[in-house]
Amino acid sequence: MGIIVDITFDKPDPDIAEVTIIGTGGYGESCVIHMGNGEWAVVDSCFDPSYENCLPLLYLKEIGVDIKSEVKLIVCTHWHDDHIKGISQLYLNAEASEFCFSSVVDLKKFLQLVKLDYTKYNGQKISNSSTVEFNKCLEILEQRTVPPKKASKNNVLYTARTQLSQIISLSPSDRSQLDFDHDISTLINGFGENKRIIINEPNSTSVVLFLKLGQHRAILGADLEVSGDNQTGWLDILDNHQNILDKKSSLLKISHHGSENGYHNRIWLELLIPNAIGQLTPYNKGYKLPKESIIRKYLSHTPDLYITSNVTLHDKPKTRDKQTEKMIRAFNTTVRESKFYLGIVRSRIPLNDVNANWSTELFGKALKL
Amino acid sequence: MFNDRFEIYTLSIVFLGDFNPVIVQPFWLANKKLIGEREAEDIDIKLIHKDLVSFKADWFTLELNKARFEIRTSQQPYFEAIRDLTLGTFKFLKETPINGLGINHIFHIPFRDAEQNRQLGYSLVSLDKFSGFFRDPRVLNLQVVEQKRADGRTGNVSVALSPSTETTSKWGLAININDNFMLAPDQTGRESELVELLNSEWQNSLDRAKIIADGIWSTFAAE
Amino acid sequence: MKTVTEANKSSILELPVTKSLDGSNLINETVYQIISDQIVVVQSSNDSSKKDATVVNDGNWLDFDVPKQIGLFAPPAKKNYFNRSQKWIGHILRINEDNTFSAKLEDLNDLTTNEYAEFSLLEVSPDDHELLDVGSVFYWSVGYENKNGTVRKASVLKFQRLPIVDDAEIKRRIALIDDVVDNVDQLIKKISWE
Repeated sequence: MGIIVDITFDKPDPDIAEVTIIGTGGYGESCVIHMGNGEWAVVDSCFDPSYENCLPLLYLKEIGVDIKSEVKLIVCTHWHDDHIKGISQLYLNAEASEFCFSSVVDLKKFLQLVKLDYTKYNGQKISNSSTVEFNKCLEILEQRTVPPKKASKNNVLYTARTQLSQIISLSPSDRSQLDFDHDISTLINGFGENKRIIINEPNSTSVVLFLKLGQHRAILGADLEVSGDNQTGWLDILDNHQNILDKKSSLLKISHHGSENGYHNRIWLELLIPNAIGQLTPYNKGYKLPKESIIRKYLSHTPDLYITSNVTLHDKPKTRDKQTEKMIRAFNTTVRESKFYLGIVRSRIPLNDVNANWSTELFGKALKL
Repeated sequence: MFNDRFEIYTLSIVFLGDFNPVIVQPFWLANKKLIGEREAEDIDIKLIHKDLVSFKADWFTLELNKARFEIRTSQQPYFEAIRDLTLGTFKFLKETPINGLGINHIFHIPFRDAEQNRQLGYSLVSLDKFSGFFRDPRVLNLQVVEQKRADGRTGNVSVALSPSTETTSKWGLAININDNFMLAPDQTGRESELVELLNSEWQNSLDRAKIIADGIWSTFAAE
Repeated sequence: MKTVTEANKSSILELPVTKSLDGSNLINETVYQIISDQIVVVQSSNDSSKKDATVVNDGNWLDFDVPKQIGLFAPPAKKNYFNRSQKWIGHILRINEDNTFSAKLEDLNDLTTNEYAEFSLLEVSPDDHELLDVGSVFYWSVGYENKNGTVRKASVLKFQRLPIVDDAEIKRRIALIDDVVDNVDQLIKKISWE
């Protein structure tokens, strides 16, 4: 079964870079990157809830990538959110891949928190799948001899064989790591079996990536936001990028589903070329993102804005038998399903042609805004 | 769908072991925050004795004697809650010797009429072979056991069929599925594993019971 | 076997008398009572041929096999059940200012897509209010409740209780954390930043 029925995806040529985002409307998102010459990286993961199959893995298999040897880097930009569903399946298959996650001040304490949360689930089907996924990755890491990569400010995560492409992390900042360290302590102290761990500010430790793809550049914004503190979030990157970002980028994977806090005018003015391509995934759980007002802001920067599926707030519960549906309505009219909407935005560009433009195609529910 | 067939689904959790019944009383449970205080006040206590404790809340019935702990409910919204209550209780009583766990599922299904009731008997057993010596043979009870668990754990799964008097119909079938886990003789000291099994096998047990009950109904009773 | 005489019948006549609706099948419930420091188990009998009660003295137990004609029956099991239910496990995402909370719901009958909903705090039992917090886990069911023959639609919201309260449990938690720390110490030897 292909990732999208009736659509056949093709593999890019060795000299073609690719940045593809896969969105699901609520079951994770993933970015698949071809750095050239058969070297691939995957950022985060997502799955189809009906089949629980890792979608970036399925995509790569479908285009004929040798997962075992050609996937070189897997980046987990958040550990505790719906961003990594299926990532352990991918990592298990990608035997030559390095595994990267957001740097933390106290790795041991972070691992304690993750393991504590994991002990609650004990094989039950109902689980906080991000914790289970992350733990599975830790188990794989333990078995392999390669240490994890630390994603932090201005850290080179991977350099391609040809030296033409690189992946560099731009966050989290030192201050964000310190703040998160405090959060971890609080969570460990408050560990309770009746609660799911909810991290209040997960996005401050989100990993933003700068991609050098031959002659071209791209930024993947993950879920980083603009905070009031210029030592964290986007402001820290904007104030400190000069030595790292050698060129402006022509593609931006817009952060945090196009939220207000994921936007800053300076990102478009200082980090991106005019009319850079924008890719994003929507948020449909409880409230809608991006809002109309922010879409207009983005469109003022670029005519090429793509989203993996429409911004819809499905306002009905799951389809069930009529009697059950009636009963649910009788007691709670606010129940609404987070529907699975698969959309793929695929952008490709010749690595070595400095004058080339991105060529973007849309699949599934993806559309141009 | 099988969920539409049964009228009543009673779930009970049974531990076999060596207990001190008098510890487990409503106010002890409330004190441990395993139930609410108001709930504890409303509990109907049948008996508190050093050898036997029996009480009934709005959503569960609990009986504990020196060898057997049982908690049960016929209210599906509280199935997970009785599991949690059991897990919580035995977390506090973690030194208690336990050698067996049973997760028991009893489905009460109404028959359409007496004829369907009678046909079930003929479907289960070759009753015509009894006609040489019984004028009107009927099946009253039947029990089948899977002696070796398919999941490889020590214990067995059994199903008992008997008439049900609980349904709204005059004729009903009770399908009683006992999902039993035991400690092997060389496993003393590993009682906490049985408590953990209640947690880890919970969903499997529910799924297994529905499959068995649905299979029995479809095979022997459905037309 | 000792026969129950009129004299000692009186001590157990305190048990309520009951019959089923059609007078035929009796609901079989076990009732206990302490008599002279011995536990009495009384169970109704379906054996209509029994004319007199018999007592079996087995150590601490006295079994009364009671014929229905005498009327020393156990009270009928109160029918209190719930069926055709739709069940979810949820956890609180946010407690809102308008006395509601927002939650993510996982359908226990269909573990594919998730749902989200708001609930009023009025739906939470007073006993469960202390459990209200971001991340708290609860069970929600809707279905048909049958209480002593009266059927009605019902919604049940119950918070999970697996508490850690007393010193013993705190010690257990510390032991668990210690185990985790030990495991993590091992893990750290194998996993450290490049």
